[in-house]
Amino acid sequence: MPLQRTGPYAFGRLGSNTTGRLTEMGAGLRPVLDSPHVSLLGTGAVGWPEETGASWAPTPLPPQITGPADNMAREHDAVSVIEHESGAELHGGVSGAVPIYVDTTGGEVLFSSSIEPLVRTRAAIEPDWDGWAQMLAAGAPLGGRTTVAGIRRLRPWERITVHDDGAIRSDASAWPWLEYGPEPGANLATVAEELESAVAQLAKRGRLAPLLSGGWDSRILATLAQRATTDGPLTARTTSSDTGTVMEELIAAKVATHLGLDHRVLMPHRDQLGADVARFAETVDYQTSFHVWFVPVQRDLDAGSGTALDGLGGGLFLGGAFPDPAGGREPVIDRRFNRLTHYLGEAESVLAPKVVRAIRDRTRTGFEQVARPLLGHPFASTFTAYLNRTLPGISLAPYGLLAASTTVATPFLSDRVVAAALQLPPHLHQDGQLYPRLLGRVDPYLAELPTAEQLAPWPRPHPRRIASAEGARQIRDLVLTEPVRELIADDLAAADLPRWQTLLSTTRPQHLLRGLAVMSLWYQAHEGVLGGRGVAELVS
Amino acid sequence: MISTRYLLATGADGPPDRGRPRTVVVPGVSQGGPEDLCPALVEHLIVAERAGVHTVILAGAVADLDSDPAKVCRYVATDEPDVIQLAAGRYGAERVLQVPSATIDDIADWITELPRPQALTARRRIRRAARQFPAVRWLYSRIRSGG
Repeated sequence: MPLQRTGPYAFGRLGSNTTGRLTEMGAGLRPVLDSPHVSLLGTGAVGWPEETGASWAPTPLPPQITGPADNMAREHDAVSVIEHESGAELHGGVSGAVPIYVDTTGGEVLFSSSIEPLVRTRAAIEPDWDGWAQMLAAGAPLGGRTTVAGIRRLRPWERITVHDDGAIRSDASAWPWLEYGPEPGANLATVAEELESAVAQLAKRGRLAPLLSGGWDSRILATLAQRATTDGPLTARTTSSDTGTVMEELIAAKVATHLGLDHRVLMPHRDQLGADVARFAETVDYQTSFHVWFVPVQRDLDAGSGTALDGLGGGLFLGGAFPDPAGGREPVIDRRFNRLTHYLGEAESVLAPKVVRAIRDRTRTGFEQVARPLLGHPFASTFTAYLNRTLPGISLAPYGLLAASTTVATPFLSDRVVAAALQLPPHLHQDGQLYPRLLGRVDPYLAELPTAEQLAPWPRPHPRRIASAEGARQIRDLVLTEPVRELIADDLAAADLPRWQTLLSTTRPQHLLRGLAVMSLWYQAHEGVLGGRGVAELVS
Repeated sequence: MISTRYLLATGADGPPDRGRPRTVVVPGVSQGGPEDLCPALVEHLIVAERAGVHTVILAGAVADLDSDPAKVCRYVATDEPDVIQLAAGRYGAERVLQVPSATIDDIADWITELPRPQALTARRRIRRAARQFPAVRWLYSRIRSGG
């Protein structure tokens, strides 16, 4: 079934409407703000008094907001547009997790929550080969790049201004989160209170739709969501992450029963893998391949489901995920890079050798620009993982995939929650030790209940959908389609299906093959505007 | 009901016993089985999952595949052509057993035809045993993390 978008979206412009592209992007839609220098259209967008500005978020906003833009970013993680006397400004959210794509070609600034309208209204597009290299090697384009040349994604706290003289300026400095750090007297109670408050505020603006994965983040959010709800049980959703176990579904069922939630178990169907890959790629604008397995949840949601609660950021800012790997005398920045790109560890089994070198080099360059300025920060490993992995790639599971269906919220990325969590020193975050302590304050039973990860056996007992004969055949067909086929190792191109199944059953090759499948789908979807462009430039 | 070869999990069972885990067979709704992942059933399925033994939904009708227990079982056993076709699309043909009779009374007739669980093969047992040693776990984590 083709994708029917029922979720929130927004787009608009800064500067004079010279090209007519904005009209083409949103034909028939009524803007929430339309002034000489600014337009904003979108579902759920809210205008400020006297048409001085407007804000939008994929999370429901209060019905009346007044600005200013930095407050809107910190209070609601909203993106705002502001009409100034001498021009206009686009102000990104504080987390940067909500994708806002910006196209500055043609003397105007066009922006959109999805790349699709920007691409559709261009006469032609070109691949950004650094972006593609980073998508394959690290999971997503880094530092605000996308896979489309000339289209960028707003970084956290990034402001773009257009002046009367036509000058366009961008500034992502003074991001408040980098100012957060350990404080004397900080305590977990503050984190718990801020998180509870964030969920309670969301519950006041509409029904919540928790997800349950068998892990800590979703369990905490579901608990707080049900506590904040007075009109009956919420509906929680669970699907399989296709890692070879059904322990996630089983532990999620225990949590749902304990909380009195209605529970929908969404089984990924073997024969839908190809359709799921295509749907995922389309909803995330071909920018990542991390969460193909999550599509059954998106299929089950619609605009009436309520606001999906996603645990994005919990593992990093509370759970202490991605601490620095041990590595002896190896420089820490190398260790961080090697972990980010560990998918390249067996890349020669999938990609031609010159392709492996090219994507590693292009990714290293982009990584350095983001990671090197973080050296010396008390939470450097956390922010390195956040800016290079969570934000460009993982964020698109909630804000690309799920947001195609319904409103979405990620309370762990609330500004106040992040501030409170980072006031606790890094060693207290280690190994997820804060999770049971935090949850124990409101639900001792769930604080003691092991997670699916803790109980899942090794080796995993179930076959993986993507490594089944049906799944492998669909991935192989995509990857061996020109022009992506040119990137593939000759041995693999000639290999039989069991070889593909073997590669797809292990993490690293599977990651690369998923990325290549998404790339192939991108070529198919944009054939008309790519003008027959191949992949040779990736290795040039 | 407990057989020496399998455990019939109806959702009304007591807690899992401490014996060697056996294949769990869950009757479909058409066979009087549970519609939901009720607590008693979940406990049996967790024991089976941890041990790596098989779990089977006994599906007498297409609707049986829509129950939550069916969505977490590894195999489908059925005697209905419509169920075979639908289940093959969802689970993969190799996880669908065509049995002479999909009733509770006839489980013993086909239960031995299930392949040996991978978790119980010698190779897997050795790998699992090796992971009891911290050095092996450390090495494996290094491989997985790329460090």
